[in-house]
Amino acid sequence: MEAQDAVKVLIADDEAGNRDLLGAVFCAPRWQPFFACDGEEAIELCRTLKPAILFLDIVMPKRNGWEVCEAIKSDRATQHIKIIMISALMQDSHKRRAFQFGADAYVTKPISVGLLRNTVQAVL
Amino acid sequence: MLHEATIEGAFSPAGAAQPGPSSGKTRTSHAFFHLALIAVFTVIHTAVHYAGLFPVVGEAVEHLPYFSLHVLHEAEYLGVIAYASWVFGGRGGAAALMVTAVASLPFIFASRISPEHAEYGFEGPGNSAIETAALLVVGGFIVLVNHRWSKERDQKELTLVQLQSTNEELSSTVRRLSDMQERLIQQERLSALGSMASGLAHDLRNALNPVLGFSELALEELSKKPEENAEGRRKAEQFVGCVLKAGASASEMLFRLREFYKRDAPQSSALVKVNEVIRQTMLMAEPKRKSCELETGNRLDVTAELTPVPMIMASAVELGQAVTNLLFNALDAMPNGGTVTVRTRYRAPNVSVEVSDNGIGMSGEVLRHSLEPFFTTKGRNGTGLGLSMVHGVVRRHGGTMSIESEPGRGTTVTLCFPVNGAGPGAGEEAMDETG
Repeated sequence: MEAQDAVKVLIADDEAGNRDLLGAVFCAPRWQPFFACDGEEAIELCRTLKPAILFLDIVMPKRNGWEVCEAIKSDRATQHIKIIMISALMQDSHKRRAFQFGADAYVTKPISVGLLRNTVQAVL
Repeated sequence: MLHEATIEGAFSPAGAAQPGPSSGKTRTSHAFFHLALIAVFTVIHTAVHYAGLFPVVGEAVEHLPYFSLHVLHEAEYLGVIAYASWVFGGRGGAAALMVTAVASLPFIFASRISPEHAEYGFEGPGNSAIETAALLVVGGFIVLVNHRWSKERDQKELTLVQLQSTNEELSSTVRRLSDMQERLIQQERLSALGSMASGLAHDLRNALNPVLGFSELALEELSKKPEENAEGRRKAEQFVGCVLKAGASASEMLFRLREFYKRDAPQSSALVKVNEVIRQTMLMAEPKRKSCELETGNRLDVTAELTPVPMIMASAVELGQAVTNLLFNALDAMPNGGTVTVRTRYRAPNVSVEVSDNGIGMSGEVLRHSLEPFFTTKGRNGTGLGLSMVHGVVRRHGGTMSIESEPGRGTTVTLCFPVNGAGPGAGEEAMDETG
C-alpha cells in the first residue's frame, strides 16, 4: 500500500554526484527514484516508466536537456510528465529556452534542497 | 662556435716567444721593459764594435768566442732589430735600425782613418762599410717583414674584438627572444583558459552541487530529534561521505586546469605513450567543448580513433599543449556544430597524430598564413600564436606538420613524430628556416 503511494520520479543527469544527491532527496518511502545518464535514456525511460516528475539536466551527452524536454512535451503519451530543469547554466537565454520547450520549472545548480522541495510542491 | 676562437690560435707562429702587445695599462709597462732591453743590447753591441778600436781592450778580448765568431756579433745586431720591430712594429724596427746604423757610422770612419785600430777580429775598413751596408739591407728586410706581420696581427686582433662584441650582442638577443617566446606561449595558454571560462564556471557549479546538497541533507538529519529519527546519525554520516567524494572529484577537475596556467619546468624528454597523452588532452578539452556547444547552441562531439602506436621520445607536456591547441581550433571552427576526430597511426618511421574537423575550413589564402605568428581569423579573440606554437613543438621534436583544408568542408592537421627521434632539442637546427 505504501509502495503504491510512492511517487515515481526520473532523475536525468550525466554526473553521478548529482544523481546521488537527487536520489537522496527524493527517496523512499515517499518517492521512487529512477535514473538516466544521458538524453536518450531519459526519453526512453519516460516512455516506459511514465514518472510523475522528470528532473532534467541540460548539458548531457547524446541529447541535451532542451531536446529531451521538447521530445517529452510533444509526445502525447508523456506530455503530462512535469519537467523540472536542474542545470548549472544560469543565463536568462538558457532559462527562456527551457520554458519555450515546455519546462514546468527551472532550478539552478548548486541547488538548495529546501527550494527544490518547495518547487516540487508547487508543480505537483 | 664563435666563442671558441682565441687570440693565441689566430695568428702567432708556433712557439713564438712573445705575444703581441697587450692592451691598456700593461701595454705601457711592457713597452718600457722592451725598450730597456733593446737599449741595453744596442749599447752592448755598439760598445763592442767600438771596443775594437782600442788595442788594449781588443787584445784582452780577442780570444773570447764572442769576438772571434763575427757571426755572433751580426746575429745579435739583427736580433735586436727583429725584436724591436716585433714588439713595436715597423716603425720600432726601423728606428732601431737607424739608431744602430747611425751609431756605427763613427766606427766606419774611424776605421778608415786608422786601419790598425780596426784590426782586432775585424776586417778592413772597406769591408766594414760593405758589411754595414749588407746588415742594413738584411735588417731593413726583417723590419719590413715584421711590419707586415704586425699589421696583420693588429687587424686580426681588431676583427676578433669586433667579432666578440657582435657575438655577445647576438647571445643576449637570443636570450631575450627565448624569454619572449616563453612569455608568448604562456599568454597563449592563458588565452585558451579564458576561452573556456563559461564552460569552467558551469563545471564548477556542477561540482559544487553535491557538495552543498549533501551538506544540507546531513544537517537536516542531525537537527531531527533522535527519537523520531533512529537512522539519522548513520544517514548523516553517509551524506558527509558523499560530500567528501564530490569535493575530491571537483578538486581533481581543478587540478587538471593547472596544465594551462602553471609555469613549465624546462621541457624534459622521455618515452611517451602518445595515446595516453591524447586521452588526457581530450579530457582537458571537455570544458571547452561544452562551452562552445552552449555558445553556438549546436552539438559538438570529440571522438578518438586511437590505434596502437610505439612510444616516442618527446615532452608529454608540449605534445599535450599542441594537441589541445588543435582541438580548440577545431571546436572554434564549427559554429554550426560538428565532430572533431583525433586519430593516431603508426606509419613507419613516424607516429602521426591527426586532428580533423568538419567545420568552416580555411581558404588557400588563410592556409598560407596560418603558421605565421600573430596571424588570426578570430579577431580580438585570437592571439594568432596557436598554430605557430604547434609548429614550434613539432619542429623541436624533429617532426613535420601538414594542414589540409577546404572551405565549408573542414580541416585536418597532421603531426608526424619520428619514433627514433631524440626528443625536443633534436630539431633545433631546423629552427633557422622560418621565424
